[in-house]
Amino acid sequence: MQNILLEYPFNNHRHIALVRLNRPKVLNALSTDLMQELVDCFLSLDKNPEVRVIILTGNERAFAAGADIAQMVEASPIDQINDQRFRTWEMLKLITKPVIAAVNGFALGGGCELAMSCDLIIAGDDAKFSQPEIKIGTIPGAGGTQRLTRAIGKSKAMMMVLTGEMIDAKTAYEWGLVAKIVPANTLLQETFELAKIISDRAPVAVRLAKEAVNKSFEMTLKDGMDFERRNFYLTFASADQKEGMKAFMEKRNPEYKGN
Amino acid sequence: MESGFKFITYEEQNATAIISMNRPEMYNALNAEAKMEVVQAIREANKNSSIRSIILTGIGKSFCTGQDLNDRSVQAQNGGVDLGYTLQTEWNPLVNSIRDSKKIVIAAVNGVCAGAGISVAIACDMIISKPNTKFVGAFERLGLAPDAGSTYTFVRALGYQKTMEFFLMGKPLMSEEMHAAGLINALDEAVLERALEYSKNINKLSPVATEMVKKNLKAALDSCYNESMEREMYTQRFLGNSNDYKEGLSAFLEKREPKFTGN
Repeated sequence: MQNILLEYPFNNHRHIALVRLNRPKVLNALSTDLMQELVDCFLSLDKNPEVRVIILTGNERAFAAGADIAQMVEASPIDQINDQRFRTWEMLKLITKPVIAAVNGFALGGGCELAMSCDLIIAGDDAKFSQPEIKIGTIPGAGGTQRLTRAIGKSKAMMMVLTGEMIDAKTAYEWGLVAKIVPANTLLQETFELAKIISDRAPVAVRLAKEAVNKSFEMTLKDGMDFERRNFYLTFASADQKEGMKAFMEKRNPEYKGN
Repeated sequence: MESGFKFITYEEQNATAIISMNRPEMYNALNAEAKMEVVQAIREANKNSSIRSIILTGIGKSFCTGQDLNDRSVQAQNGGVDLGYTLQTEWNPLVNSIRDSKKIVIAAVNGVCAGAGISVAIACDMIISKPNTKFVGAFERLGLAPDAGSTYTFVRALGYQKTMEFFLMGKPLMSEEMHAAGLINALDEAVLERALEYSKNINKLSPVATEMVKKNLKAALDSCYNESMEREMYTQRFLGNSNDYKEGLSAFLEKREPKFTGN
């Protein structure tokens, strides 16, 4: 595993894992191999009962600058269909634990799409986002027209997708693409602080909540409400719900076991 | 240091980089190439870990008189001209390279600033000026509006009505007025020496802390109280874990000067 680096436990926290994209020479271009390693790594973290939150990051200069163009210049449509890349992208959806994207520098094309595939994005104040595919004669292929539109609305998404121009962190924050901006050099520290808070919450409830929020993009409001209600009922089957409510009544901090 | 610059000079004095705009025969009006040289010099100074602060000054009687109107890109005769493009590709990158510089940029204003030249001066983190120096808007004389960040910066620093007067009435702001209004830090005939004194003090500080002070002040101008408070919290949590803080604390307790490394 050279294309990604896993730090677990991250900062000696047994519930938090940090995954770094690690192709610094090519601004973390997302090659097929890298995506396969990433998905393998995520799936194994998802299986590990100790892990509660996953942070995905790049480096100071780039989260990821997109797909590996060098891999694609001469590709035919059939090559693209046969490429395993999009299958690995699909598998990102299988992760049930919260994944936080910590974005410094460029999140372009596939990089922006990868960040949007995560559950939420924290950005350093130097971060830049774009879907620049149109500039090289193609269009986003891993959710750039879909997730971006759902995140920031049609008009703004159109502007980004049709011009390929970048937006800065502040704009991304104002448009609702990112949850929070922090000073660039504090990005990992502050993402860790957020991950700590989430990892203190009841793990089963966190997973059910994530699932319900994600369903809101797939369902009508009525079906989504029904889905949410069922997950709400389901939390009452967990020991952690009993512990959480008891601790609240007894004015103490809950101790969640993840069951 | 071998510079290879045509329109500026670049030298390093201890931990200070001195960038001098050097077209005295043109009163330091800048053509496209001159602007890119300043940008490049600021970037290089930022990359060089032995440099802790930057002084920007001019050679001759002027600091900078803005756009070189002889440049073909701004000539209006032959049909249309896209000054927006000149801003986007030349002036804004120049002013932004100063704003985005992690290292403090001190303007040593050795003489008149005009047009976008005032934008360059005012983009700097601190300004030392010769007394009795004119800051001339000059945009109104050309039938243009202020640019390269001067609108944003002046209205915040001077207030609305005073800025309106400055940009419309054609009367230069004097360095003394700017000093009184808080836009200029010090007035001194020996402007470069004074700027070097300032930079010497900055060079002793923790570079990472200084960088964050700059960023946080800039962010505070664009954000609300709560956002600014949060940034302070993130910043202090970060700096509190730095080696420089350890060093600063022990130097304080041991009653000696700290030696900061930027880690």
